[in-house]
Amino acid sequence: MTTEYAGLLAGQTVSSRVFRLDVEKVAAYVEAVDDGSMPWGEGDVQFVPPMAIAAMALQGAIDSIGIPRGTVHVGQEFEIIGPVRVGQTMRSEAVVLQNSVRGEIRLMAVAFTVTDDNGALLMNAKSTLLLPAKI
Amino acid sequence: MIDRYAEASGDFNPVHLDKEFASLSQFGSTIAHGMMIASMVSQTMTEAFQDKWMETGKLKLRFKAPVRPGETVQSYGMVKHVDNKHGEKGSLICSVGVKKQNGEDVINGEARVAAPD
Repeated sequence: MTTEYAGLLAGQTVSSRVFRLDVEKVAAYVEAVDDGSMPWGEGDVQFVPPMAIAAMALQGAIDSIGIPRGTVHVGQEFEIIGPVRVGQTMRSEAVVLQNSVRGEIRLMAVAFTVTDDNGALLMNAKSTLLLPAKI
Repeated sequence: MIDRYAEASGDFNPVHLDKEFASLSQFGSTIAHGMMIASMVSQTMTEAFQDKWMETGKLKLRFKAPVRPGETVQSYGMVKHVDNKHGEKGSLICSVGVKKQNGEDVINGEARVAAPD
């Protein structure tokens, strides 16, 4: 489902998705970013790179909103509340913080809340995007 | 690396992958995903602070300039000050970012991590 991004209002929830970063997905991510600090963990318990979680949460929202081609990512924040284990199921909810136009450019800020199966908070994140003012 | 990151992240924005599309964009060429470059900052913090970063890390970044295929970039991090409250161990406030070889800032921002034991 895509939502016309121009009409999104601050405070509006734009996506709520369940996702899981399994061994294969984490390995693909770690290889793609050449992350020498990973794997991180002890024994059979390995943890997901925090930026991978933020990236997946953002992509889920982008897919839901129908962000246009050429959108530029200009800012990223995250706050780790608890480490995420590889294979752990997470839910990411995205809420619009700002959706404003200046000239031909639209500034959109989206906040993400990532929780575990029990609803316990794992990460807060925020992404700031520049996209065309009009669809 | 850009192609692999697109596959791993699901971000197939043509500004990163389509030379023709990107040539008509404000960038004039394809550019790396901002989140791919930003991952270098988190990696730097993980290597420096290990469990503390993975459990308490807080990051705020601004993407200042694009990184084009073939460019070399380097991440950096520096402790600016220690935020102590009421005699507790507090947090380390770090200046972080990524620069090109000519010193141009690609990403800059701030990271916060619980002070080591």
